[in-house]
Amino acid sequence: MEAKRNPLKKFLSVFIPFFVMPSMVITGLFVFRARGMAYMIAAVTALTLIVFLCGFEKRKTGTRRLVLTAVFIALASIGRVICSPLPGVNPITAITVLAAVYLGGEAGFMIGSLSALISNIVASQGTWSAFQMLAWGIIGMVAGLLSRFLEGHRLRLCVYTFTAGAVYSLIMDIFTVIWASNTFSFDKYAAAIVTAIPFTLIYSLSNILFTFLLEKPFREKLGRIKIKYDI
Amino acid sequence: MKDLDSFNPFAVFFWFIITAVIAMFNLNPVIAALSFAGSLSLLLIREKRRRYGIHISALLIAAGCCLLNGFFSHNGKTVLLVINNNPITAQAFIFGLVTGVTAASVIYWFSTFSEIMTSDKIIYTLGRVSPKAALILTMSLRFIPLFIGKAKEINNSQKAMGIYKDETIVSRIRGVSRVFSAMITYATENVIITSDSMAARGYGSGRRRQYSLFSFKPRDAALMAVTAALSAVSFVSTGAGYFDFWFYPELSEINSGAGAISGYICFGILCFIPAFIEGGDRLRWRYLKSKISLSHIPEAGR
Repeated sequence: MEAKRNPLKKFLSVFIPFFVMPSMVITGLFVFRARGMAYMIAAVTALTLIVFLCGFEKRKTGTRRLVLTAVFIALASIGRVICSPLPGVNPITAITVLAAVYLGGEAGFMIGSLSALISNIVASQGTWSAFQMLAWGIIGMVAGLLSRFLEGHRLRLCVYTFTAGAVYSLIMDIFTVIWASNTFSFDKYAAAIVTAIPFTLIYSLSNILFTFLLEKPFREKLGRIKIKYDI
Repeated sequence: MKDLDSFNPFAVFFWFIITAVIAMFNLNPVIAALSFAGSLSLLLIREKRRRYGIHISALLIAAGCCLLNGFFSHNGKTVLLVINNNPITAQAFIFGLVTGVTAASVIYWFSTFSEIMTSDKIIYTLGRVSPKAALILTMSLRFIPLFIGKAKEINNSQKAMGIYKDETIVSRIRGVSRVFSAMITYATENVIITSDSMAARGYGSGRRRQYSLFSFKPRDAALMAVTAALSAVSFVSTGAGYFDFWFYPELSEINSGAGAISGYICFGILCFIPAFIEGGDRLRWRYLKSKISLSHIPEAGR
């Protein structure tokens, strides 16, 4: 409703994918020949994020759902900061997925990407911020789309967060390799994966643990509030 | 007194993105060194106390890039040693070193950047693109201290009731998840009150505007204009190939034509702009302080 009156966003959501993105990638590849691939991936990721955020603006979200989204972003960020002494352990994936199942894909994307942004204010922002935001956002969005299949099934949710965590780590390793050497080679990718195995394993297992522990309170409380207040 | 913080967030954001993009996507020893020197000097000028953690992580990343590329890339002419029929070359190490120094400088840039871009500035810049995301961001930033306080309260009351035991790891995890469960109950009930109150005050009934303290002053325009001019020269010399540098099979020579030199100078100035702004301010402050203590109030002394 309010989005229709904002010409800047409307402009951006058409202008970026059809004009800025291709032209930036083409001129970028031409200008940064030495690191063209790394540049291309970074530019496309950052712009995709903006397009996603602009696109969500169009749909009308109820005030309650909006505030609920903010609540889970805060909870996920607190969880990540509390767990930060343990390398590889953080509850963002679990909380994002569980909340997305009840609140839908758009809220899932917002929770994943914005809790990455907020917790990185404390952890540290870096070139990986945009990748993390997009990766966690997409994990949340897919969980929201699969909500019929996932809702109320503890085992399926555990399997989903485990897979999501592993896929997330594998994708971030691709980014690491391209970032470090601008070319993608399976040797280096294998090396990066092998170095990261302990972290990936801890991360995926902690995801299962978090999902297992948090599934019941989320199901009971969000289910109740959804019925009671018709969110 | 921290002068860079008082610039308009858009101007700082513009300068930062441009500089970081040029620094990150050029693989050239000179660019890497300039970017590293600029970012490190800015970090050192701004820091109040020594922060070893960031230097350690920068060092680790630089060393990691150097070793990863050195051992897994087998291009290059100068063979240092052979492991399992794979040659380990000097060029691969140097390539890794240049990448690593670039990565370390990016860490320093981002560290200073996240210090300058406080949450209110992030909301201000994001609010133009997506007011909804900015609103959610503002609200969750407010919820964080609220929830931490509430969690402590719940924790204490659980302890007082004697439910919260932390003898073994299992009971501790149980205790934490009980606190978390109570937190969710509190938070979701709170949501209804907050959102009803928002609706009652007319949220969603019109276009949302933001309140912000940031005005666009002439010096912000000056910063953006200087950034645009200097980066244009840098982009042109990147595109023209003046910054090209080959690592394999042998290291190429650093281009020292007039075009390349002017490109390097422009990029160097771009890297040191914030250090000039901040450092100049510090110097002026020192100077004024010394004048105060020496001439005007002699008995105050040091």
